[in-house]
Amino acid sequence: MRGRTFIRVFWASLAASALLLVLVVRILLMPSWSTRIAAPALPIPGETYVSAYRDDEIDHLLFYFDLFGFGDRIRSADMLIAGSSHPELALSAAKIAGAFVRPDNRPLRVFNMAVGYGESSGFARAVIEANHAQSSMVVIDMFAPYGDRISPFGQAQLKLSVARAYQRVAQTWAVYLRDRLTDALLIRARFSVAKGLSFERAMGRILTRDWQNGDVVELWSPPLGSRYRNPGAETVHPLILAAPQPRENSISPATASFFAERGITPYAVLVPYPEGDVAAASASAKAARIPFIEISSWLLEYYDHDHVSATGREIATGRFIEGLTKLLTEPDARSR
Amino acid sequence: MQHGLGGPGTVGQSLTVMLRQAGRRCTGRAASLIYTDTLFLFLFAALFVVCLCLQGLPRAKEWVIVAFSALVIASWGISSLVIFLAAVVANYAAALVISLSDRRVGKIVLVAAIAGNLMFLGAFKYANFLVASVESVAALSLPHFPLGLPLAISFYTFHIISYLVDLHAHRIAPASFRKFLFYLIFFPHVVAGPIVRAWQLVPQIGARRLTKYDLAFGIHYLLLGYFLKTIGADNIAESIDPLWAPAALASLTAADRWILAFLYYCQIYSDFAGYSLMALGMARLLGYKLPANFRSPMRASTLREFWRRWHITLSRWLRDYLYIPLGGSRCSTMRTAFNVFVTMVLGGLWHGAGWGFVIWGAMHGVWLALERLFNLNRPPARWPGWIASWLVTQVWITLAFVFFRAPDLGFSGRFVGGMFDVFGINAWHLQSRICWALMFALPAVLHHFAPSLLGRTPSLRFALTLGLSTGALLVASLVLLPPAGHPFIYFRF
Repeated sequence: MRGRTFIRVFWASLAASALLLVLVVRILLMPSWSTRIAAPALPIPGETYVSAYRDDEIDHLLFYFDLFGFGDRIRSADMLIAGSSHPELALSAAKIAGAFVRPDNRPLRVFNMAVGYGESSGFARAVIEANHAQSSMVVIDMFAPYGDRISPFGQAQLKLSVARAYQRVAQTWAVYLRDRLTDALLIRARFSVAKGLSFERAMGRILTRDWQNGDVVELWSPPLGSRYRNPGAETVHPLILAAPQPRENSISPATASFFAERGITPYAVLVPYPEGDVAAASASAKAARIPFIEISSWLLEYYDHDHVSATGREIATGRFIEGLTKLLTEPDARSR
Repeated sequence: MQHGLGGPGTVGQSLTVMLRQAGRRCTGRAASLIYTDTLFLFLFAALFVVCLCLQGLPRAKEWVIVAFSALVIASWGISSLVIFLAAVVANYAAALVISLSDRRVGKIVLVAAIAGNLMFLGAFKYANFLVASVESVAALSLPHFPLGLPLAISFYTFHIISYLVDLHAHRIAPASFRKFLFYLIFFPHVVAGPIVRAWQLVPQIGARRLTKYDLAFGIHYLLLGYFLKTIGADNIAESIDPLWAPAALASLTAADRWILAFLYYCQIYSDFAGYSLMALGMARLLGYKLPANFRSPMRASTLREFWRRWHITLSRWLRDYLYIPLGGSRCSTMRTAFNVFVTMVLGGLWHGAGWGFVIWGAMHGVWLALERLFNLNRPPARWPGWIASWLVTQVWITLAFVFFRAPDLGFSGRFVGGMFDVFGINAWHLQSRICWALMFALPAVLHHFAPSLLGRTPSLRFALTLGLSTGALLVASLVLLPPAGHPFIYFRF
């Protein structure tokens, strides 16, 4: 057989077998395919970015290593929001920026650099130090499973080189891209000793954030769909209170003096969560001589145990703005 | 309200799990470029497109490939790249002297260069092993070599030695620095082989163009290798890795141990043959042909035949640059057997600095020497004899792999001891984890019959079969999610 015929037969049979298999998968999945939820919105370069996909979270690297200009945005921000996933999801940098102006009458620049994994002031300090940030204000959430230390996950991230950090970010985005491209056609199958063979949607869990201010834009998972993008469609519940749990202090004297040395005014908050102890957090902030802004849990909406919904974020941010306004306009409120 | 899809502990739990798993992954392994990583495959696709555009400019194309290869090595640490480039420059200088000077001076330079390369390899790879061995015997405290093992040092040292020897023997013409660098750094083979001779690759540099056959076979090899590695080897590893821990040893019956050793045989075959096929496929897609590394080793009925089918490029290298210089088979039968034994022990040691590798090599050496001594190194002509010979050979190979895989010699001894405890209570009981892993050994076993089946089909049906299987592999690779955190076994060597 001539070479040309060989090649034609090869490509034709390759395409035929691939299409046939895709067709078989689609037919087998027909019942579930019709009920599956819409895919998340595509991230738009320069506007939104994938901050966590499946098992990989990359915000630690983007913020600490100043990747893709995140350091610039952190440096140029007047106010930084720091802490764990609680403030990451509960405080809107855009809304806070719209509520205040700078002394020169320009809008306040706010960046939400809170990240998952229970980070608190320890990671905030590392990011501020690495980027030489000169922000005038920093908002720190008092939820701190690791005190004012960096979480073990965070420590592992910070040990990477810049090249490795870029590589991990690129790897996460490449996996997202692969799954995104195949999501419309195929599913994924996973083998495990414990569960045997299981099937799942090609697209995995994804967290998308705003490129400019770090606000969470969308949290999407295959069984539950989109959170934050369509607030009306979310199923929510009020805060489920539990017995307060003693936690380590998020703001140590060293942290307070770190901010004082840099002329940064810290504000402490506690985004309500089931075991959160507002009184203890307030006392702790007071001990460190840091103003505490209380965010009441009244009518606050949650989509899971610890994290507020999109509407909850609107309410929590509104309460934070109220509290901060009071602090800024009533000098004696600071000492209370 | 706490119910419905948004109830507590659903998405939030997912987020927590996502972050916890992220931590495990990130601390689990370094962020090096592994050929099965999605990022690497995207980068390779981009390189392929660039090389396709640069078909008319072979030099430019090759410099792009050199830069890409340097990136691959640097992803394992800048020090790996620096050490590699230092070795390239030093050995190019030595090669220049060899090619320009007379035979006597050339020989002196050749010996010095080989000694230097072996000392270089020895310092990085074996110094600490030697120190630890002396310390364990003599209760001394000796200084340790401070640097870690650079990526691919075992492989490029062999490439360099073969180049220098062949150059001195006038088997090859001296290459320009560009060609020498390309020969050594070409990423499909630099990390873990195949061990390519200069005469196999250098003539292709700047000369060969991508053909339609290259595209077809390149894609087929790439997908087949990816499938063998990610679905075969990685799933076997995921299932049986916990059983190679000392804590799990007591729970293993005799049957468990035999199957476990066989599963490791399948794992390392899927892993290394998978890697080699990916290397061949990537090279073909860029327009270069590399030699095959495996040819159905589980079908070998003698150990001599096994080494003509397993890691073919290494066994040929050992034959040409170690066994033959030792005297090869041009001496007495005893001396030949001794040469075989020494070659295999050193071959075992080449794999890694550990007594397990030495014993693995020695077991192969002893058996090969016995085959030589008793003239048993040709496959029996008749079926009953062939089956008996095949069975004994494959059992011996499986047994030797225990020493290759086990964490230490004590473990290996206890493991092998338990393999022969066939009359104990529940000796033939199999753990479910092992039964599960057997499913993933199937691709490795089936792959042993594919080449001969394809070889017997007429041309048209061959193209059809190749195309159909490639399409199926493409969809399977996209659908089946491989377990994470299992880099190629031979990347360690």
